[in-house]
Amino acid sequence: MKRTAKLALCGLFVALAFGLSWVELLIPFDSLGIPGVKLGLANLAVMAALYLMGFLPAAAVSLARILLSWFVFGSFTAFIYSLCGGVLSLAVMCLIKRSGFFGCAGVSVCGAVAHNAGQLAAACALLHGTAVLYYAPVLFAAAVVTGALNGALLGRVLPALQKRFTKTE
Amino acid sequence: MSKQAKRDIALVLALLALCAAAYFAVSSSRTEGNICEITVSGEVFGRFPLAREKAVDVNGLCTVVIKDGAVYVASSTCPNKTCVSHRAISRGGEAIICIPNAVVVRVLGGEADFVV
Repeated sequence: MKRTAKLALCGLFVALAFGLSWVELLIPFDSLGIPGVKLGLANLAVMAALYLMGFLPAAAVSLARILLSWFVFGSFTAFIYSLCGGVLSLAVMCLIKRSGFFGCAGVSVCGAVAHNAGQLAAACALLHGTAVLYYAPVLFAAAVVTGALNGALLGRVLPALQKRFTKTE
Repeated sequence: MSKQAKRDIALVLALLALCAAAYFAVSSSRTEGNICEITVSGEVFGRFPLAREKAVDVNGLCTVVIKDGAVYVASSTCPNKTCVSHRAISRGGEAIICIPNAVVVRVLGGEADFVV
């Protein structure tokens, strides 16, 4: 892929990730009795970048989305949590993908679980206690489910994307 | 089905089983609590008996209400109000956490001594 094509695609994925993280805010998991759960839709865009272009573009997309959310929604606490989750999640996904052991869904599940682990670690550090951990099984179970769904979805879409975007040499 | 897809499914099932086991292990070891502890940024703000009805103003950050042996957050200054929509808690180890304000309302079991 050409540098310019890569750059344009990165921009597209940042916009997509940002739009998806806004869509997530509309789903009221809090009032459904499972507070703190999110679909993790933004990870679709990050993973697509990872599969189409590799680690660095994916990291750029993820970081840009997190910074953008901070500037637009204006919450520094949320920024710290997103960063902890995002960094750990991408690192884990990249390693698992490289190992070739799991498919899209597996990579996505590992990423979602890592994202949760990063955020729980941030919570333990910022709240100076382990009170959050009582809730960890629920959060991890939700991460496995949403991660699997996102991964399966991306697995279906990816062949078409690869065909479309790797031919632009 | 490809080898990777089979491994993906196995991974999902294994992790879900692990979560379920952890969930039941945690919730079955839980006993009815009798004290609620409120901390702000890790500092203990106060401990209150669940038996006595009370509305506590936590440094103007939120209002915690103790009623019918359970505790909940009635109002909060935080942006997302996750803590407010959380159901009332009454069992030892359960907690309501307000991440933006760094407020933790936790139920303690056993005979911890309390202030106020």
